[in-house]
Amino acid sequence: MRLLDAVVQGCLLGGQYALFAAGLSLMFGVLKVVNLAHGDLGILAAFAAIGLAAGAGLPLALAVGVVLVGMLGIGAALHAGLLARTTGALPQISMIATFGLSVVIGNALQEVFSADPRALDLGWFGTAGVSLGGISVGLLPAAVLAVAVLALTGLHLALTRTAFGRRVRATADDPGTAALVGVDARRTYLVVTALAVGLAGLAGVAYAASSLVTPLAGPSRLIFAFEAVVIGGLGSLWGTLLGAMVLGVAQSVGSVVDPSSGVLVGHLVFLMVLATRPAGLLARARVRA
Amino acid sequence: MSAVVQTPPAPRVQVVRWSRTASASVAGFAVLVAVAAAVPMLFVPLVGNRLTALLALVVLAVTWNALAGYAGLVSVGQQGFFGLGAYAVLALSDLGVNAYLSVPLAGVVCALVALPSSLLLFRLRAGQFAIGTWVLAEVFRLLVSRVPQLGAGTGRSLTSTTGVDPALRQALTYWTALAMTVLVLVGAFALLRSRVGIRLQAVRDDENAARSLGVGVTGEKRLVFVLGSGGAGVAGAITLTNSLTAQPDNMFGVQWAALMIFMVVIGGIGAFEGPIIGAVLLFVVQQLFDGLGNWYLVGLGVLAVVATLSAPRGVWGELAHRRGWTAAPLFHDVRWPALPLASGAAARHDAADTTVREEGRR
Amino acid sequence: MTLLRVEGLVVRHGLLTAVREVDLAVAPGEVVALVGANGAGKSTLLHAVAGSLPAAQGRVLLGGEDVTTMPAHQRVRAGISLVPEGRRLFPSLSVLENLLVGVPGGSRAAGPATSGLPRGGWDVDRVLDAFPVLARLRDRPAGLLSGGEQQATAIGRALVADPALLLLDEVSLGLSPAAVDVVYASLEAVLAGGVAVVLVEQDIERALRTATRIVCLLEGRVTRDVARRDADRAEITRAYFGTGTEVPS
Repeated sequence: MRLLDAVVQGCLLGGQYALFAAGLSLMFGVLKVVNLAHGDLGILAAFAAIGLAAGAGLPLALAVGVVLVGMLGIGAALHAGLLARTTGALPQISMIATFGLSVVIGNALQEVFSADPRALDLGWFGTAGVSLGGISVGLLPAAVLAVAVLALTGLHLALTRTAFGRRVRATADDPGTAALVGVDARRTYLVVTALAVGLAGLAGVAYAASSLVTPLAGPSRLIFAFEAVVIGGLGSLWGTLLGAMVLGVAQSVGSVVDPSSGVLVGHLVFLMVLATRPAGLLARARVRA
Repeated sequence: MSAVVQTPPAPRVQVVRWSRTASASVAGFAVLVAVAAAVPMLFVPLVGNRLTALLALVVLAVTWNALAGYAGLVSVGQQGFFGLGAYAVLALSDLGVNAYLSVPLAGVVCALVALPSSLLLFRLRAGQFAIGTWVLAEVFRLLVSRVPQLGAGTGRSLTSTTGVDPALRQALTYWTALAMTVLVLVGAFALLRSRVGIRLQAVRDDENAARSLGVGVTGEKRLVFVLGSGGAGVAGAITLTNSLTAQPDNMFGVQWAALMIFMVVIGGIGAFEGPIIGAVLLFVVQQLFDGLGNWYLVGLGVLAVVATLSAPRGVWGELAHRRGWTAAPLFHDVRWPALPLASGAAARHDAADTTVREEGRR
Repeated sequence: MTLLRVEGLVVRHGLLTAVREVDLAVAPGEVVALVGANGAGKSTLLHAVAGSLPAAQGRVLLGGEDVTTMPAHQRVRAGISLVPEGRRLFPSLSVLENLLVGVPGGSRAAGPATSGLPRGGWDVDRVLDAFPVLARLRDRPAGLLSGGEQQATAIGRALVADPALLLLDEVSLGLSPAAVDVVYASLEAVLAGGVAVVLVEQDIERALRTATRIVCLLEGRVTRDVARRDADRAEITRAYFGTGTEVPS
C-alpha cells in the first residue's frame, strides 16, 4: 500500500517535471540550444508571483497572469538580446551565455528574497485532497498534472496542426531552406523561445504552489526536466510526459525505501536508461517538438 | 630555436610552428616558475595560501578550456571531478598515503572514473552533454554525502598534515600545487600541439570539412575528457590540501563550474593563453570583491554574458586577434610564395605572397 | 519591362570571390539558362538573387524595386522563389506540409512595385493538379520519397508562393534519366504559365531545349548572353569549359 501510494504521488510529481521539461524540450528541438537558465527562469517566475501576490497584494489569478505574460516577454528578450547575438562564435557559446544567465538569476534572487524558502499560497485548494481507495490524492498536484497534460497536448496540436507549427518544424529541420520558402526563421526562433520561457514560468508557478521554493532551486529543476526529456526520448512530447512520470515515481519510491535517497535514485534511473536505451523509452526520430 | 618543416615539391610551402615570441614566452615561463618556487622563502604564509588558490584556478581554467575550447565538450559538471579529487585525498590519507603524494594520485583516480563516465556521457550530444555531466556531479555529491567515514553531508578535515609545522605545511602545499600546475600546463600544451590537438581544432573550426576529410575525433575527445577530468581532480586535491576541510555541497558545488566558465570565457576560449589570464583576472576580482557574497557571483555572471556577446574571443583572444600576438606556439603558419592556379586565373589573386594562419580562433 | 535586373553584383564566400560584377536582366516570361563549369558562380548567383547570400557590391532589383538588402524570406513574398540544389525538403514534414509551408502567411509584405508583377497564379490545388504524383503522396513524410518525387515536391513548394521569378538550381542532379524527363515534363506547365525562370542546368542539351536565352558564366563573370535561336552549340560548349577566346557580351 505504501508502495502504491508512492507510485501515485510519483506520477503526480511527474506532472511538475513534465511542465519544466516541455519548454526545455521545445527549445532544444527547434533552436538546438540547451537553455541552462531554464530552471532559474521558472524560479524567477515563482518568486515574481509570490512577490506580486503576497508582497504587493494582487489577486492570485492576476499575479499569475501578469507573471506569465512577463515571462513571454523575457523569453522574447532572451532570444533577441542574447541567443540571436551569440551566433558565429564557437557553436556552443550561446549555451555558455545561458549558464551565465543562470548564475545571475539565482544569485540575484537570493540577494533580493534571501535564502528563506517560500511558497505561493493557494488557500484551501493547496491542501485539499480526496481519498481514492485509501490513497490520498491532492487536488493541487492533480491539477498540476492536468495542466501539464493540457500544455503538452496543446503544444503537440500547435506543432502538428497549425501553419505556425509547420513553420516551426520546417525551421527546426533546416533554417536556411525555411528562409528560402518564406519563413522568417529568426522570428520563429523568437516566438519559440518566448513560448519555452513562458512554459518555464508556468512550471515555476506550479512548483511554488506545490512546495517550498528557494532562490537557488533552478539548477535542480533544470536537471529533473532534462532527465525527463532524455528518459522519455528526445523529440517525443508523450515521451517527455512518460519520462517525467518515471522520474517522479523513481524519486518517490526511492524516498520510501530511504528518505534521503529519493533524488539519487532518480539520477540512477536516468543513468540506467542512458546506458540501456540511450534514445529514450519512446524514441521517435521523425516527429520533432 | 625554429622548427621549420619543408614539404619537398614546388611551390615552396613552409609550415612554421615556432616564433621568436614563442621562445621568449617559454623562457619567461621558466623564469616565472623559478621565481614562483622561491615564494615561500620570501613571503608570509598567507601569500602562499592565496597563491595556492590561484594555482588551483589556473589548473581548472586550463583543463576546462581544453575540454570546451578545443574538444567542444562544454561540461557544466567538472565540479564532480573537482570534488572527487578533494575527497580522494581524504580517502587516500586515511589509507596512510602521504597527503602531498595523494594530490597527483587523486588526479589519476579522477581520470580513471572519467573513462567509464565518458562511455555514458558521450551518448549525449552537445548541449545535452553539458547537463549530463552536471547530473554526474550531483550523483558524486550524493554518493559522497552518504559515506560516514568521509564526514557524510557535514564534511570533515584533512588530519594527516596537522602534525607538520604550519609554515612548512604551507610551503609543501604550495610547492605541490606549483609542480602540478607546471605538469598540467606542459601536458596540456604538448597534447594540444600534438596530432590530437590538431585534429580537434580541425573539427572545432569546421566540423563538416573535417568530416569530409575523414577526421573523426571521438577518441581524441574522450582522451581530453579523461585527462581534463583528472586535471579538475588535481585542482580539487590542491584546494583540499590548502583549505584542509571538505564539505560535499561546497566541493561539488556548481559555483566551481561557474568559475571555470568565467575564467575561460573572459580570458579567451579556445586559445591556450586565455584561461591563464582569466584565472589571474578572477583571482584579482576575488581579492577585491569576495566579501560581497552573491552580488559578486551576479557580477561574474553578467561579465561572462557580456563577454560572450561583445568579446567572444575573450581578453587574450581580442588582443591576439588585433595585434597578431601568440605566446604559446600552437599555431601552424602556412607560407607559400604564390598560389598554384590554372593559367588565366592566377592573375586574379590579389596577393602574390599569401600567408594563411591556420589556427581557427586567431 | 524588366522583371529582374542585376547590376554589378559581387558575391564572396569569405576570401573567395564567386560572382564578379555580373549584370543580368530577365523579362517576364523569359526562361534563362545559366551555363558554366563547376565553380563558375551559377549557384552563388541564384542564391544572391534569392537573398540567402549577401551581395558584397552591386544591386538586385525586382520590378524596379531595390531588394538588395531584403532578407530571403521577404523576397519570397516579393516574388522570388528558389528551388535549391539537392531539393532540401523538410524531412519531418509530409509532402502536403512541405507545400503548405511555402504558402505565404498574411499579406504580401513588399512594396507596390512588386505586388503588380505578372505571376502564374499558383496555389496548392493547382500544384497538386500539375504534379499528380504529389496528390498521391500528399501524406507521406518527405524523407521517404524517391529523388524524382522529392524534386517534384521541391518545385511545388516553391510554386505555391506564386512567384514572379522561379530560380531552379540543378533540378536534374542526382536523378535517373527517366525521373529527369518526368520533372521537365511537369515543368512545361510552369513555363507555359508565364512565370519567368532562371535555371542552372549541367546538361547543355536540356538547357538549350528549355531556355529562351542562354547566359554563360566563367569564373564568376558573364562571358555570353544570347537568345536561344542565336546560340551555337559548339560556342556554348566552349564557353562552358572556358576554352577559346573570351568574347565580351
